[in-house]
Amino acid sequence: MMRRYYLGELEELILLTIAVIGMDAYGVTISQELERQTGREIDFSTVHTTLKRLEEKGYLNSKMGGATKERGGRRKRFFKITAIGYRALRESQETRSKLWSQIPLQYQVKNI
Amino acid sequence: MSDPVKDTPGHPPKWAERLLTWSCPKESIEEVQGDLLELYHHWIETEGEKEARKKYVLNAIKLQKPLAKLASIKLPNISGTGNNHSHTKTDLFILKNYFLVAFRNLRRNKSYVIINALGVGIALTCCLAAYLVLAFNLEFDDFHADKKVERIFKIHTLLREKDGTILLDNNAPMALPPFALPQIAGIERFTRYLRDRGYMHYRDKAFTERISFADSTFFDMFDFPLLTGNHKAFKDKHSILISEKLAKKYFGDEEPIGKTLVLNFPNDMEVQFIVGGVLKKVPRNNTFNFDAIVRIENFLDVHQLAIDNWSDPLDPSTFFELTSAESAPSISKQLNKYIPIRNEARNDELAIGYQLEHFKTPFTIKDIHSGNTSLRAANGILLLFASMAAMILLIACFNLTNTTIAMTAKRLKEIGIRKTIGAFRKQIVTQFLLETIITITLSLGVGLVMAQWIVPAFSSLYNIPFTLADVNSFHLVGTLVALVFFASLLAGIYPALFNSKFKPVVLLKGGVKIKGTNVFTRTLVMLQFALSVIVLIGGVFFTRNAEFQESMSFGYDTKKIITVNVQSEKEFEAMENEIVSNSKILSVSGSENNIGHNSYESTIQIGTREYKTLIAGIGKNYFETMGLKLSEGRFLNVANESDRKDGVIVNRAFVNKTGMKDPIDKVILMRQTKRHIVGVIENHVEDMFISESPQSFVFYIADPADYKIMEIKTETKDLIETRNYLEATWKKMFPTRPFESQFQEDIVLSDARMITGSFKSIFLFLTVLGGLLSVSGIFSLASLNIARRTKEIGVRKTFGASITNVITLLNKEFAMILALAAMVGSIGGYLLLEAMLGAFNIIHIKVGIFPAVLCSLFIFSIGIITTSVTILKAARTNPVDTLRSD
Repeated sequence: MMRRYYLGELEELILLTIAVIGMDAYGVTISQELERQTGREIDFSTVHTTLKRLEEKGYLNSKMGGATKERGGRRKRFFKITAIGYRALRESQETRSKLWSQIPLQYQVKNI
Repeated sequence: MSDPVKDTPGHPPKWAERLLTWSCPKESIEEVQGDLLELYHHWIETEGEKEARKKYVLNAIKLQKPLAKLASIKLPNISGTGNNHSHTKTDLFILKNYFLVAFRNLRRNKSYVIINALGVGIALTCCLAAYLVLAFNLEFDDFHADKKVERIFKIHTLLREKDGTILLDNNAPMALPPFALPQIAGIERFTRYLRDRGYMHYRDKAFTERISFADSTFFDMFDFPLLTGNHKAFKDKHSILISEKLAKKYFGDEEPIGKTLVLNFPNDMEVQFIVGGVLKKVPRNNTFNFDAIVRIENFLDVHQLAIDNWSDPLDPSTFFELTSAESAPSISKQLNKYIPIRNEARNDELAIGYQLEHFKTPFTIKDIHSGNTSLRAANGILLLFASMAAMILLIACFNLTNTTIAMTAKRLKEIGIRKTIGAFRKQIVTQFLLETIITITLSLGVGLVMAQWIVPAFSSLYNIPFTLADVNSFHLVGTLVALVFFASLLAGIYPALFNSKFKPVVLLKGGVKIKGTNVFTRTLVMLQFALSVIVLIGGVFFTRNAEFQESMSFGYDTKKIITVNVQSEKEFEAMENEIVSNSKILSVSGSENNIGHNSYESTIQIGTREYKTLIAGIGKNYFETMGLKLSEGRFLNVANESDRKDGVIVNRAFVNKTGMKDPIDKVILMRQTKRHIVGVIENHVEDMFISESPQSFVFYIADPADYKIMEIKTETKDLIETRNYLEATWKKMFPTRPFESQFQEDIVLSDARMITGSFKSIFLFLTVLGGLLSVSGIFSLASLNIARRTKEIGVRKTFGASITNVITLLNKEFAMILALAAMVGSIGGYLLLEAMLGAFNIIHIKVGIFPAVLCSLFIFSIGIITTSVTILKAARTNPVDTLRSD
């Protein structure tokens, strides 16, 4: 059996958000986009910790950008999804689709 | 965090930023700060500044834990075997247990905990008082960021006095900086700074205020945060920046910016200023310390000084900003070329050199002879305070150690059982240390409460207008935590190691003997009691002396006189005409100098001999109003031309000093004029501090144009009412001039009251401190003794000894210690007070043997009561209980 990838809900959301944003994904854009897309208010500190964890797990990698004026000269850390990260996302999606497809038809129509 | 971020709008709270740097790993600090700053600006736009700040702080706090290195270390444990997990659980359980046992044990020994917590608490209060004085110096000018003042230097003038002594002034001639700026390369800009007084008024509010003067560059060179307004206002010559306190005083709740304040300077100059800014409160330990500041050009105008004036003795303190800090020594040298110009213009003191010192280089009041800036306190006081506080804390900790050992006697079995069921020595040590830490933390609470009351007394005695609210709270909290840690270790480590070293078998069999008292502990307790006696004698003495001061007679009507400051004859006459009809006012006089207030020393000649004496220029009705009593001859008559020109009145002390017989009509030479003595008055007490023998006095008739003071006499019971009447009248007649008035009694007593009052509170405080320390000391001695002699007491009781017998027997040792302490204390107290009163040179009552004896008896009884109560508990126990245990 192949290795399983575990993704928490927030982890998954953040990975997806990074994928949506593309090149410009760093702390601020990620947390703002996340808020916009989900309508939930998620603390920056939570986002930051999750990003660190995802990087530790190898789902993300990051590099520092150039100096910027508006942040008092401080650089940004840009995040990119790694191959393993994509695989984990894909797998999560597949699991869900598989489960969705097995739900009896009447529930799919009526309740959702 | 390379650049200091100011706590201004658009910037997140400084402390929260500091919090981030504190715990963030190096590799992520930059992005986190950047991200949060960006979000912060976003939040300000979307939700307003208040909400943004809240969110920023919340995030900064929440980032603490996950960012800490601990978190990353713990990560692998989660996927581990689970062993670690249960281990932390056990740790928590043990920790909880430590606390449980500690609290149970402390609750069981309430009296011991309370006494020790109070003792150590008061010792910590002393440490706080000492800390305050230390912080005054250590945090001096702290709010000026180092980077901002990096290149700012103050100029010092080296002076040689006529007798050869070298002095340091931190000022320089008014003309020096504007000359030096274009002539010497490397000076970027300068600011001069002067302090003076002036009358300030706005509508009906008029007071004398300290006014500072500075160049337009002042606020460019130094950071002073504003509440409202703008620093740019200072570029305008007729703009004034005032403190929050002044803004409240003059404008109340009105908006101060743009209001006009009128300042009156000497020479009847009146200048209008527009309020351009209100300054935020800064701690008092800073160089400039001003309430109101205007441009120095106004000072030049008022004193009619030319821009190139080298001769005026009112030199400003001067600060240069250099292009580079390294060039300071060479610029110092170049400045010396102005020395000849300066010395040519002035002949009072000889300048021999200029020196540039960095703005933050510490100088104390001892180092600097004169200048316009505030300085650090002298180091001697700091050392004295710090060492005294350390000693007191040491004694308190030592007592705590002793008591803890005494208390252990009851807990040997507990330790034995703990060890048998597997406790490590480390765990026993932790248990005991924890109990000490809890006691000392309680003491810290006591200390902080006490500090509210006692620290102001300390600072008032040394004239330091600085409170615990002014010190840097980060430093203070750090120091307190360190202090608790240090004191706990000091007091707790010995009992903890001692108690944990025995083998369980020995402990359970009861083979461990707690040693009783030894010479060292007995001497220490004796000294503590002696100290308590000394400070109680001091406290009682100053309480009695305060009463004496209030009732003592000065030889004239101190309790009936109100003085009002006037500026001219015109004011005096207008006021006199207005109030003379009031029936409550018994008499009115005017004078240039009033006794007890501003009489001054001068030299007079009789024949060829010179005498130094105090003199005062007085007006009509003066002696009658003041209530000075005539002894010989007659009073001066203002209407009499010859009295005005060459009459004087002297006092009895003057007659005795000069040794003249039959003084009436004798001639003295005063200010190169011959004057006749027309009368002699009785002596009065001029000043409580100078000497106990009366001072010599010469009174002459002053020119009414020189009247500075108006004396108004009324009945003592009408003082307040009359003063209010005077104030109302003054306000009606001179609405723009401040009403400055004092009661004569306050003038002559204020300093004495302050000193006596401060000593009284300090001594009484020390009495409570000494008392508590001594009680806890003797309590632990008694407990130790009893612990050692439990069996003996049991045996004695079985053979028929009564409770009284037992108490008398055990008390013998303590009675001796206490008797010795009483003797040492009363003699020491007497000598100490005599020495102190000698040093302060203040008129006072006799110390007296009787109060000293009473004080020592009182302390003796407290000691005996403490030991008796402690012994009583042991003496009451049924001998069966103590003897059965074997």
